[in-house]
Amino acid sequence: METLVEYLTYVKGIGYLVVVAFLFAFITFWLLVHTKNKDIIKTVPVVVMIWLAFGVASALVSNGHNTNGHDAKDETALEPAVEFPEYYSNGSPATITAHRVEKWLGVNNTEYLAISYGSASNFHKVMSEKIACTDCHHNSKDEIHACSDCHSAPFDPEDLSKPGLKAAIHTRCMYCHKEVFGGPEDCKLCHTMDTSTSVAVAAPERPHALTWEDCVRCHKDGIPGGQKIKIVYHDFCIKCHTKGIADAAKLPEDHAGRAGDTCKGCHKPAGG
Amino acid sequence: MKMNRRDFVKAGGSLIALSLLGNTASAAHSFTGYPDRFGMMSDLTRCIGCRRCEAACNKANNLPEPKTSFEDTSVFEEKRRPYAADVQSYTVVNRYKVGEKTVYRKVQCMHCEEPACVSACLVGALKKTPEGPVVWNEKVCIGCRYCITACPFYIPAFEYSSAFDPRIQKCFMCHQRIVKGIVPACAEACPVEAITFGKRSSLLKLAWTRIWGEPDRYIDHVYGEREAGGTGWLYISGVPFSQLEFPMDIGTSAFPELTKDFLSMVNLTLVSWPAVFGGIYLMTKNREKPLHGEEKEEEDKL
Repeated sequence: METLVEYLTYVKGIGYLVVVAFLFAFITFWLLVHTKNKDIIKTVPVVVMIWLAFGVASALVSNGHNTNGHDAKDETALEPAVEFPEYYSNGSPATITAHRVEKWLGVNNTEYLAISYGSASNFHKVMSEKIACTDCHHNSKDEIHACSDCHSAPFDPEDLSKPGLKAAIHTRCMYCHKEVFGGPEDCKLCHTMDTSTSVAVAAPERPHALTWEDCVRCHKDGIPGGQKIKIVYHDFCIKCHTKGIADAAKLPEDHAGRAGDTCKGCHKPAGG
Repeated sequence: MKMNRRDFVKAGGSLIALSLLGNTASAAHSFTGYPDRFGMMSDLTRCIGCRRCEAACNKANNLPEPKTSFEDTSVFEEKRRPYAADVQSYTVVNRYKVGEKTVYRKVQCMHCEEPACVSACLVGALKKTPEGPVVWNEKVCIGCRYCITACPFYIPAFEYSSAFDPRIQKCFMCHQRIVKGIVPACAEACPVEAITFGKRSSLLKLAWTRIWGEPDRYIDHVYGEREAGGTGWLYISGVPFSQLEFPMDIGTSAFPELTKDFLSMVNLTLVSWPAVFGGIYLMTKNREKPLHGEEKEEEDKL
């Protein structure tokens, strides 16, 4: 937006300049026809000069627009120049924090709290009496997976049909509890504005207070395969929990016979 | 109206080559849209009318706070429009009773594949971006409001409440967020992903996958697949769209198609008429001159 010509062509488009050029040429042509002067031929070069001047000017301006980067992507318009990230967030920590500030996600339903608040097993105990595990863990085959194992990234360009965690949980509950999702009035059955008792706001209880120091108490030679601590105690819970290593509680009686790789289906040790 | 080199040659060609009528007009139909353009899909069977999308939209676009809160459900008593003098929003959710079902319909700009508003705009202030949203350029707009009359969905609105700096107001699919890699605010806020964001081609597949997956739940129609030449915002529903006040009479051809052939001739007319009439004038004048000369010579002889 430096010169008048640039301004005109930016605001009105190059077509504007062409029309102006044409009108100038037409006025000259009109004067030429109506002149009483016999040596009409002398004005022809003037007309040609004006035509050329406007032609060159508009050509230059149009080139300038193409090379200054602003319009450069019009040349390769078939590929958007903007690079999009693979992952579009609707569950980023920033967003969740923002929602908390707005107090949008306070869950405070006493019935829900009674079965869900605290350990994972309580919710599972109540629900497993009513429905099968795979009714909720719908795509788990050999091994039960936690919701967030699959439903982490919403609007995944690779698989749009897979909702994010927020929608996955809502729609899965909605599948049976239609009465709780009848309309906007029903949101308040679970969501209240009281943050003091909100599940979403409260930090999840840590079943394990294990730290790195706790691991090396047993793994004196370091962790085999260089695995992260979290994975190690995910996969080998039973090693400690059957023998009482590091004061680990022994397995409950109803857990007898379960393989060591199924623990994490229900139990989610936080941190690590 | 931004022109690249090809467009300039085209325009120049129309000026010079009067005999090649029609050649330039046919080239305009070859473009079938940017391949990776984004779109949105509303699944009306999932929407529970919580109005989180309205609240998120209001916040993301820095719109003035509404008179009643977004928790207020009394707004469903009347059918609202996205932008009116007292309701300044880019999207609204309306409630419909269809038989025993309660259906919520989200209303916003449809982001047409070939938007009527873009073709109606005299100065190119509205633009279909390669990313998918139809956006509006404040610097270019002259406020003629042709886009408002052109839109088959009655979406663009004029900010009559602002005397000195009125803007065209409509949903821009959060273009400012999309280019930064963030999903549009309404899709982000939706608790049940009734609004899905993604590439339009993928969304179309998803829409038909859902319909074919649960044929009893959905009707066999993706609104926006072909309506008005295809729209960037798709809808799937469990009840006929005609009962949700969707415009059903808009046809399947893009609105600019209806005027493109005619409008491309305007420049040629502008060029050819002065030349033709000027030529005729020149011819008749040259024929008169010698006549006058002969008469004078005859008078002299007499």
